[in-house]
Amino acid sequence: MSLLAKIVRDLLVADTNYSTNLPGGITPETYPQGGVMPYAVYQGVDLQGNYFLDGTLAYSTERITVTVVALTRASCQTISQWIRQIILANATQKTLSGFTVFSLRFEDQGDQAESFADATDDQARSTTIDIIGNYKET
Amino acid sequence: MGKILLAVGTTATIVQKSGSSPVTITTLKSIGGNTESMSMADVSGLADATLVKAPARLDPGTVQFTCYLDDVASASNQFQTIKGYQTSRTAVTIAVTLPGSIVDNFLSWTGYISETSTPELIAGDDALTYTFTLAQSSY
Repeated sequence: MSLLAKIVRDLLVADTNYSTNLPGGITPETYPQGGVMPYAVYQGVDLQGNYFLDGTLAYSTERITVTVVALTRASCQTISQWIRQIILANATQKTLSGFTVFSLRFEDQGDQAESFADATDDQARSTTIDIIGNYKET
Repeated sequence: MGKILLAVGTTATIVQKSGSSPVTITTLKSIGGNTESMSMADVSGLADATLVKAPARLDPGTVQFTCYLDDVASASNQFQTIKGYQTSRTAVTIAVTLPGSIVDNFLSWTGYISETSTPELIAGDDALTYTFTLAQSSY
C-alpha cells in the first residue's frame, strides 16, 4: 500500500467535513459496487527513493492519484477544493501518521465524465487529483 | 575475470592532518572525481622541428564533496565544521572506503578546504545539499 496514500487518507478522514464531503468514504484503487456517492479512491503512481552514498535511504518522493466521483460537477469541485485546502494546510514539514513528511503538494487536477455501465444511463462526474509528497519512512 | 564496483555503500572520513580521530562524513551524497595533471614544459631547442616536452610539476587537483544538509543545530552541524576547517586553514585528510575488496584508504586526499557553498533553495522535491572542495596540497 502506498505510504503517501495512507498519510493523505488519514488527513482526509480526520477532517471534520469528511463525512459530509465523502459519505461514500475513501478506499484504495476500487470502490465497492453499490456504494454511496460522492466517494473517492486512491492509488500509488510513482515512488522514488533518494539515497545517501552509503546506500541508506535519505527520503522518498511519491506521487498518488485521488479520484473523486460524484453525480454533479459542482459536487466534484467542492470536494476537490476541500482536499486542496487540506493539502495546502499541510504543505510543509510535519509529523503525519507517525512519519516525517517534508512536503505535500497538490499537483494536477483533471475532470472527466462517464456513463455507468448498469443500464441506468446515469452519468458520473469525476475529478482526478495528483498529490506529491516527500517523506522519511522511519 | 575482473569484478566491477558500484559507488553505493561508499563511506568517507575526515581527520585533521595535525592529528585527531577520523570522523565519518555524514549525509554524504556524492564525491566528484579528481584529476591529477602534470604540466609539461617546452624544452625544445631552436633547431628542433617538433616540440619537445618534459614533465614539470604535478597538480594534485581538487575533489568535490556533496552532502545533504543535516537537520541538526548549527553549533554541531557538519556544514559548520567544514566551514571551520576552511576559515582556520586546517589541513585535513579525507579517506574513502569503497564497498568492495579494495583496501581502505585506496582513495585518500590531503589538503585544504578551498570552497564551500550554501544550499540552493527551491520550492521543489530535492533535499537541501551543500558542497565543499578539497584542494590537495602537501603544504
